[in-house]
Amino acid sequence: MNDPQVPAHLDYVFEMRVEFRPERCTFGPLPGGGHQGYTPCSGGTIYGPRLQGIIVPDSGADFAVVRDDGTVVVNSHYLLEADDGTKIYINNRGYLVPSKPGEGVIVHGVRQPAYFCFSPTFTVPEGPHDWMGRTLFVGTGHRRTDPDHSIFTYYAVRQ
Amino acid sequence: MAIEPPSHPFAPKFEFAFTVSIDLTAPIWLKPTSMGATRAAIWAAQGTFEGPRIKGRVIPMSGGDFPLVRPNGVIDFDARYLLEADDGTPIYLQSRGYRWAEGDAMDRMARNEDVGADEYYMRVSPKFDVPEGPHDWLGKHIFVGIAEKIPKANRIHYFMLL
Repeated sequence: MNDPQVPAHLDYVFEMRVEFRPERCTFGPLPGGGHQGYTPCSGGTIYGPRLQGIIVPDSGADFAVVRDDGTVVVNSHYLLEADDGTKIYINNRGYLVPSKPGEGVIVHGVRQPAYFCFSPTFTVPEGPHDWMGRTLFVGTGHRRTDPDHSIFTYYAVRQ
Repeated sequence: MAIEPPSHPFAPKFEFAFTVSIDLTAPIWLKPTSMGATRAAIWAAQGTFEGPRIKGRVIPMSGGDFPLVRPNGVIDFDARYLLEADDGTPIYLQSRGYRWAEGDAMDRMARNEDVGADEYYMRVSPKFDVPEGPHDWLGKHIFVGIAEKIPKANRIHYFMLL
């Protein structure tokens, strides 16, 4: 039973550069524990083999909950616009576990979280991109600075 | 479909976590609903799960799946039920995902016929609510479930995204 009979295989679909506004903040503590985060997105670009376009400027934000164990439960909402004009709503949910002081891997001069992964959902109209609305995706994130932004990379879980 | 190496230099890696086998009740159908689609309700009658780091049982009738069936036949899962690890820890599982197929495979599955796992797409992504302790890794990793539809049952192989 420990044998994974059907392994998971991924196809790289697209990557997006998500740029943040300086109004980002957290507030709390919340009655149920943890803190509420708010990270507005000013815009961004989308590139990759199966989707190209932009993040519609000022179309959304991340409303993460920062748990008392330090894990950031990511919950971001953005509007994407593909190069053919199709609008796509992304709800990007996942976990960011901060790295312990001095421990995170450094990429492009920025110390990375210990864990930064997503399971997004896409709401897509019928048409050339509608497969994204019936396909499971996973994503990974990288933090960047100057200016404050992240790179999110998305993969489709194959049949 | 051919198995190829990951197509991105930073492609993430998976580790097998566990397989859940669940016997399901007969569905109740609501159609059409105010969501403009058909909703079903199916309970987890009983089940077990097992992997390298954890095993236990599905708490019988602790929940089920309440999926929407879109007009084009795509099933959009919304499952919630409880697992219980062998050490007694209760674990809340909430899962979303999709099942769909080309041709008549969905009809054959609806008639509880055996359908090959390569004839349909059934992939889920669960999140777990778990107390602090030996199983709290479940609450801070993304998982992907590669699911098999078996007559009156599901078998879901969960992989942890590293």
